[in-house]
Amino acid sequence: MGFALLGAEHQKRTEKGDDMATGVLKISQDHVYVQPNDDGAQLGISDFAAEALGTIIYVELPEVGDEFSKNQPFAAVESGKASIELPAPISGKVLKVNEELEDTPDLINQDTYGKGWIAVLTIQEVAELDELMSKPDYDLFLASAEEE
Amino acid sequence: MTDGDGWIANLGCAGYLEVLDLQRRLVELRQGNLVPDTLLLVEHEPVITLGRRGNRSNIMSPSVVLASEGIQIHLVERGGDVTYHGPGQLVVYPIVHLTQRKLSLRRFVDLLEESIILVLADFGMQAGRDPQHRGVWVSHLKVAALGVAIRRWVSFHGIALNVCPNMDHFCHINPCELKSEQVTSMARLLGETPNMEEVTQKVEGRFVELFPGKWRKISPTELFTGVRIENAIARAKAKSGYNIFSK
Repeated sequence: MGFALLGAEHQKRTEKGDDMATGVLKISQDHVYVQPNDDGAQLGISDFAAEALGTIIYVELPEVGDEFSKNQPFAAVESGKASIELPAPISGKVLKVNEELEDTPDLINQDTYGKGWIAVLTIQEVAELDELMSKPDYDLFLASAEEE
Repeated sequence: MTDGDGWIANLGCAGYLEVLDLQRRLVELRQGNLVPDTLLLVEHEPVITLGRRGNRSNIMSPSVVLASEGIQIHLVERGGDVTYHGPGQLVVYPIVHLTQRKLSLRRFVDLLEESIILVLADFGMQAGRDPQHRGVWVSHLKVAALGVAIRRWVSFHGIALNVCPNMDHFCHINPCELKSEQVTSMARLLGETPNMEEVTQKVEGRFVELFPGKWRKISPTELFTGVRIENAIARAKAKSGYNIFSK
């Protein structure tokens, strides 16, 4: 197997106390992804969600410094007159927000795992990452939901 | 409290903020399966609401004018831009658990629009939708405005059908002459004022057709009292560590 796309297959796991290295992409059942990297945890919506929602026309971003517990809404995306709140997949404090989304919200549709990132949070509780699905597990989760 | 698949409550004329508060509480309870899907039907006092985008440039009249007419402005968590609610307009708020009904967001919005399109057909009007401009249209005239919110898979806010509202009030939010998005009402289209009760019954009927299940009529009192009781139960359970959000 060749190297997979950046962000998807790096297997370096982080341990408490270590510097943040690029970790495994994880996705919540609410279709919000967490990509641990050097800055913290990059959050956005999965490609499935971006496709299902259609063109995102507005993103309500959190403020730098805001703190969220897991499952608290940290942002909202709007598409076709529906505003969807995004529950935080992990607890943390907002370090950065993607201000490009203010002018170009459909960066999410174009490149949700890259330029369409929404916010970077600190990882308050590393164990919460274990509660999320890996990309392969998430794909299975989607497939089984289809079959029902 | 959870007998049947759904509740329908006709709240008559009720305050915007009061019903918004009810919606938010119902959403929380619905997430925890403490209430079934609930359809609220209501007429509000004249209010202007802004969706999350909060674009105030779409409010044409200065605040003093609005204040003198007693029209309040509320910024709320729905999608869509500015809208007006008032007497003569039937507002429909479906609090529906999308994933439990296996509904995609697109399908849900389609069905909401469809319910109104079918009601208008019942009254002899040919209405349609435009995927680029959600809501319900009769040719180029908008007769129902749509703006929903989704919170952990449960919908709230909804769609507002202009039965016979005060059309002058719409000038507060749209430049009446020039804007291409013209607003209309059933009364304007029919040339006579339809019976609000009849329209409400038709909306309930069409909604139930499109969202199948055992729907039970619930009185506003039952709903407000019941929701308060469930809230108390939920808080008590939360305190004891019971996770009301576990599936």
